[in-house]
Amino acid sequence: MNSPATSAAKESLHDWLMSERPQSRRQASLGRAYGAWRTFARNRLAMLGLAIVLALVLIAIFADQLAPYSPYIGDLRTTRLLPPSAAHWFGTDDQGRDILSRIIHGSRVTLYVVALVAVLAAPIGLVVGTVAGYAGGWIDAALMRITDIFLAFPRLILALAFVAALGPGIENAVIAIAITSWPPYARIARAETLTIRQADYIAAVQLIGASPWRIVLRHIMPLCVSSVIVRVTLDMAGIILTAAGLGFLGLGAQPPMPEWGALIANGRLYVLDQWWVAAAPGAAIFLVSLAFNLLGDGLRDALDPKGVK
Amino acid sequence: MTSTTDSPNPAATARSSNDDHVGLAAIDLRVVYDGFVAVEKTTLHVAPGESFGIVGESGSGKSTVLRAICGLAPMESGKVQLIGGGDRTLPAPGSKPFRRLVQMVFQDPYGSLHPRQTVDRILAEPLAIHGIQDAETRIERALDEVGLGNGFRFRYPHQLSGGQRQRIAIARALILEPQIMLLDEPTSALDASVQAEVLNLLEDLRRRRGLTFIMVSHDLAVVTHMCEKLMVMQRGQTVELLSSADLAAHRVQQDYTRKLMQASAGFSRDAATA
Amino acid sequence: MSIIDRALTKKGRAADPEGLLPGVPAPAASDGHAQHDALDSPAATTGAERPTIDAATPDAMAPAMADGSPEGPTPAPAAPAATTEPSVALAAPPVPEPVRIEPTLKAAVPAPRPVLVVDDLRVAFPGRDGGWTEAVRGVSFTLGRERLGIVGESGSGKSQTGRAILGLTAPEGRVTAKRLEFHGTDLLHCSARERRDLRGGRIAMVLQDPKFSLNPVMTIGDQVVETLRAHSRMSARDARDKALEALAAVQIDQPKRVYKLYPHEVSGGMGQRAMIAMMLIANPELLIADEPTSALDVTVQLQVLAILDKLVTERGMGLVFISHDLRLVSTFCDRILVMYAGKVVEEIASGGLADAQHPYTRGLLNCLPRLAEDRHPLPTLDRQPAWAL
Repeated sequence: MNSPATSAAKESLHDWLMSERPQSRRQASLGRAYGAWRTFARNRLAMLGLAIVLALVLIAIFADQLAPYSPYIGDLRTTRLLPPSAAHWFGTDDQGRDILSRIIHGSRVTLYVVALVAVLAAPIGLVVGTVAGYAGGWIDAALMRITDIFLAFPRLILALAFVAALGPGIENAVIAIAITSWPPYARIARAETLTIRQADYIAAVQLIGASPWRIVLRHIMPLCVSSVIVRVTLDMAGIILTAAGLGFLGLGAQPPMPEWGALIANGRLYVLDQWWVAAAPGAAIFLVSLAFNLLGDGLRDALDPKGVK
Repeated sequence: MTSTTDSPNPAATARSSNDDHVGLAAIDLRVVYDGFVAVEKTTLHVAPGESFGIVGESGSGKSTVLRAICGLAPMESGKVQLIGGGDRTLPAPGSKPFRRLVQMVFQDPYGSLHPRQTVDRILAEPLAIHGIQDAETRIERALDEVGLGNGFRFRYPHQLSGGQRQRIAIARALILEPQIMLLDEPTSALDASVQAEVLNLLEDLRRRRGLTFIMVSHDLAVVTHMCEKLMVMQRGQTVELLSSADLAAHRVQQDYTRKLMQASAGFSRDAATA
Repeated sequence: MSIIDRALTKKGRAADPEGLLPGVPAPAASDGHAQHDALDSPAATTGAERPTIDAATPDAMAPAMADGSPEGPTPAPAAPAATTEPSVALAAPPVPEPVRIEPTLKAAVPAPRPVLVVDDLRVAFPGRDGGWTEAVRGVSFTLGRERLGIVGESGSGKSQTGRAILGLTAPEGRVTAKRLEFHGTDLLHCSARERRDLRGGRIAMVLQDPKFSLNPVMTIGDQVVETLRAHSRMSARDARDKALEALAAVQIDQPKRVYKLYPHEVSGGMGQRAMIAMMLIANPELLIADEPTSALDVTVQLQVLAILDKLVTERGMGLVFISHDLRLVSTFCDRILVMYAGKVVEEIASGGLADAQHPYTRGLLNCLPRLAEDRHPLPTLDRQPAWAL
């Protein structure tokens, strides 16, 4: 299938990327990314995790095309609580809705939650941690005490408080989760910064006359980013479970939104006789959490600063 | 081939005629870390264009003196000031213009370059911070001056050898065109053959640009080779101040200096069993 | 006499069944027994003999051999010694006979079996894209009871050579050799258990930076005791006493105080001395020192070298001294191997530096700045690709 021309082209692209003597900025940064990708790709389980996550993303994007039935409308007379069959792969729920379609649409909600929390929590944690680590003194103490305060809140209790204050809904659930997720990232970033701060290359840049903000943003943060990325990926499994838990309690997504936790809550009533109503969304949550864990492990091995010389 | 020991640095006399060059004086420097006195009331005077060496063992405070001069170590008391420079007003220590005049090369080539930045980025950073235009030409010229071609421009530090990294560190220090270079054991982590190349490079740069050097080392031979005047330190105190010509000719006052000289000669079985 | 000497003679009996004694021909099996007695009996006289041996050695010949083996300067009987003869000979005042071992000397006396035989040692590591890169490319040497220096720059393969001997090469590396023998034991093909027993017991290694080679969470005393108890059975109290003695033997002034300190609380020189004590406490026959003094101050370096020198001379150990400092090694070792790009390019006897032939060695010597001389610019090493072939 591969003609000699394409395999020769592949060879030269590979060589170009792996070259020890890059000739341009682009070649250098692409080469580094390629090297990290190769290390990552050697880990089979991590590739499996990546495949599942990519599948999740694709399913969420093409949910409308992929779902065989409507996720919101069901026929109470004919299709109520049907077991898994050729027509309904995961069966139907108590309102006659096809569970497979609901799960497919629910993947959108899952991705939404995960992405929002990552986008909100990680940068906050990174900034707080690096600033605290670099500044030291009372700034460090103050920021770390604030971090401790947020760390002390249990997620579900805080979500309850938010819901009581702002009303239930997926956005409020996301905010609640994000607020309790950033402290570990701050701690990681601070620990890395404390080590990096001693290095001669930071002293060199200080000597050149860089302002503290420049040093933190352009010299220290890039080194902390990989640890935080790994931690965020590993946390995503927990975030999905927390969102599902909130949904289960009725605090997150509201009906008829097919959030996976809410689906399980729904199926709780029927779990003895119609086990599929709860089992299918449960399996989906399990699979995606596992995928993020595997992905995070693989990323850690590929991006670990100890491995990169 | 050896030259007469009279004038160790033939270029030294040629340069002193240039008025614009800047020297440095540190008066009664005292550095204390958490109650531990690292440097005790040290005074040194480096004339413009001179090469000054500080020798000592570990714990002598020699590197601390250097760091205090450029503001990387907290100075409990004492004063650092620039001298010379013709008519212009000299910047105060620690200010941004001071940074353009005084730069440092660090000891560990494996730690002084940012691991995630290419050489190009490392060299562009000082120019960006000081708002200097025409970065491209300056970077190319800097690489040229330290004997590395343009092919090194986009490599990461882990793709460079120790000697090459140290050259990049020197290029980075020089790119702002400083007048005073602080050298903190620049070659002690390098192999002997690479050390010779780097020392030659430093000497060459000094001669061409008329730089003032303050060099710290534990290696007497290196420091005597590179510097005209020497200061010997032990445990934060100044032991002796002498010229390298005097040291080479064994005209040494203090016992500690003599001990250092003896130790540099290598292991001697008779001395050991004595 | 000290506990160390007692231990040594017992060890000597165990370790020397076939006569590595200088000047003694490799005896037939029947003599093994005789040798045992010979080794055992001078227990009482070793102490008295030692000063004379040390005094004799400088006179003996220029490359002073680390050969003051307390077993005594047994005269070289051509015939297999009768059972009574060795003890008689040893009871007599020592003869200042040439007692050194120089495996390369074509002496009338057949050379005793060397401590270490390395023949065509090769160490390779997997490269980025499949192939293997050889870090050590065919190094061969024999080591008797002498100080051998291996000198090279970074990347020359000297450290990998030392590690390969001990079996400490990284797991992904591949070690091959025609022969790699320690006192006849094949190091390449012995079992992992055998190698573990050898390591620390009969072969010891001292590494560069005591900050990194000493366990930071154990006190120095505990670490020395750990080594002891790994290689011999003894009660905790005996182990502690022996550890204190070992610390005193390396000229640590207050052994009791240092016993309780952690590695980060002591200076580099003291840490290195503790490391040497730890490594020598089990009375090894071969010591591999990988840049043991490079992380130390110049004055401390000489003290540590003096201690090493004394210990090596007293115990008749073989010493492999790996360093990048050609000049220092030439003042300390008896023989020097210069390595470049994984191969030995030259072998020099101590004091023969000035007559070095190979351009790499000469270039390396030339490019060092010297206190007395003034050369501007310094001559640099012009690397020829031919040297790496």
